[in-house]
Amino acid sequence: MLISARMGESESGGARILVVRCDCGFEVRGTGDEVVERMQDHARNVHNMTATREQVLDRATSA
Amino acid sequence: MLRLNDGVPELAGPCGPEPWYLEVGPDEDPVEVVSRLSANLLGPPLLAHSTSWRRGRGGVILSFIVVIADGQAPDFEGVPIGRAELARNSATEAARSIAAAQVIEHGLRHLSWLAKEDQVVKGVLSDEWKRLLEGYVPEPFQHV
Ligand SMILES: [Zn+2]
Repeated sequence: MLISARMGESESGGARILVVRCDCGFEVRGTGDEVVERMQDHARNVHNMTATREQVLDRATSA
Repeated sequence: MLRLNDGVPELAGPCGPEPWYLEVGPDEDPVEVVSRLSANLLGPPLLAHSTSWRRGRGGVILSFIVVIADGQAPDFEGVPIGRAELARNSATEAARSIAAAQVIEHGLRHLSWLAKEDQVVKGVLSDEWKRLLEGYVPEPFQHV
């Protein structure tokens, strides 16, 4: 799995903002649903990989 | 992913100066995957060629050199390629840790070899590319 792992959370108007970073330097930030969707797109389009929701969230860090 | 910029070869692609890793499923053809994702992200490449292999990341890593046209995919910033000494341990054991620069150096040497030996590669590369590759010692496919 290319995506690096750190876990954390922050509050922004009640929304939990996460950051997920790929080894290639690509980074997404947003709510859980947003980072999962965008990182799954990135993994598929750039790395030909299938990433599950759990795999993305396991590797999220605080914004 | 290589292209020429004012006569200087540069590394470009979705991961910039970082190696671009693609996963290849058990039923997939590595050349097809590399060609398809390259075309999707950067436009059709001039050529995609496997240049070496090594073990790593719990599997086998095939290295490919993909050459795109000068000025193709301008949205992806390029990084000029420096020359690097090839990493070697012994004839039988692949180097344990290989910097991307060394993989690229071997890739360019392999491309230099193809530019002399392979009619397709010969036909696709520009004269500027061929002149530049004259400066690399030609090497066949190998594990590095
Ligand atoms: Zn990535």
